[in-house]
Amino acid sequence: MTEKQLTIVSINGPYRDEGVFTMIRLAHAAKEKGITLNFFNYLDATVIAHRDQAPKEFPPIETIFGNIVKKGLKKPKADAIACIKCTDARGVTKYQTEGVIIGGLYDLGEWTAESDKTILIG
Amino acid sequence: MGKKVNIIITQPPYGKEDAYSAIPMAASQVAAGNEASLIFVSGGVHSIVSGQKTGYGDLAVWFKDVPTVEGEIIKNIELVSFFALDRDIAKRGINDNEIIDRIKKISLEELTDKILEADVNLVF
Repeated sequence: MTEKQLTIVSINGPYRDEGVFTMIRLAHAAKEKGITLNFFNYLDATVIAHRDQAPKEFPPIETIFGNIVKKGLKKPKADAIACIKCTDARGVTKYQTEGVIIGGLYDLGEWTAESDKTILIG
Repeated sequence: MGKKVNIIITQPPYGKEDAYSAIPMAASQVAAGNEASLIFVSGGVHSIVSGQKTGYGDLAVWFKDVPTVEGEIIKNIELVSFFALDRDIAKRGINDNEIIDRIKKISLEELTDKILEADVNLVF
């Protein structure tokens, strides 16, 4: 049986609300179950993987997110794409953490077609 | 294999980027071989009013205008099926003659069926 595949679309940035923390908890749980993950970071969510984040009072989102993607080199795989129009608009294209690929909405269309489930967390 | 994708917009145009950015997402789904419907509900139905104008002021200061959601809908009207929830349109006093051509009104019952029939439902 082929592995299950889940695509998670995020649209919110970190810290202002709990959405990104929830997304990461969900992603971690899915990975533990052996599910292949695709992260598509859209709009303000392209800040999730921005390098050098150092929040004083919250968990460092970039590090946690980056660890899930890096550990996804083996099975279950975890890939991450940040939307180029959104990263360019926010000036973060060159500052994405290791493992995040700059891509576009067409990639999301392909992931949606391939995945067992696609969800959006706003 | 292509999927049936619903993108549901609950947010009004201009106050947030959501409505504007959901439209190219739907168009890209079609480009990748999926079937996409975009459904405006709640405050999202304000996006379907025709004659939208934007502009924050002098272009020498602002460089360019914010694009209209209407323009983005019209650009993609051949690719994506656009719907809006009838009761939310009525609630906001939007008349039929104010709605952008080819956007179909949909009842709550029809929307429920549409959600159940789809493979993917993404809510902005």
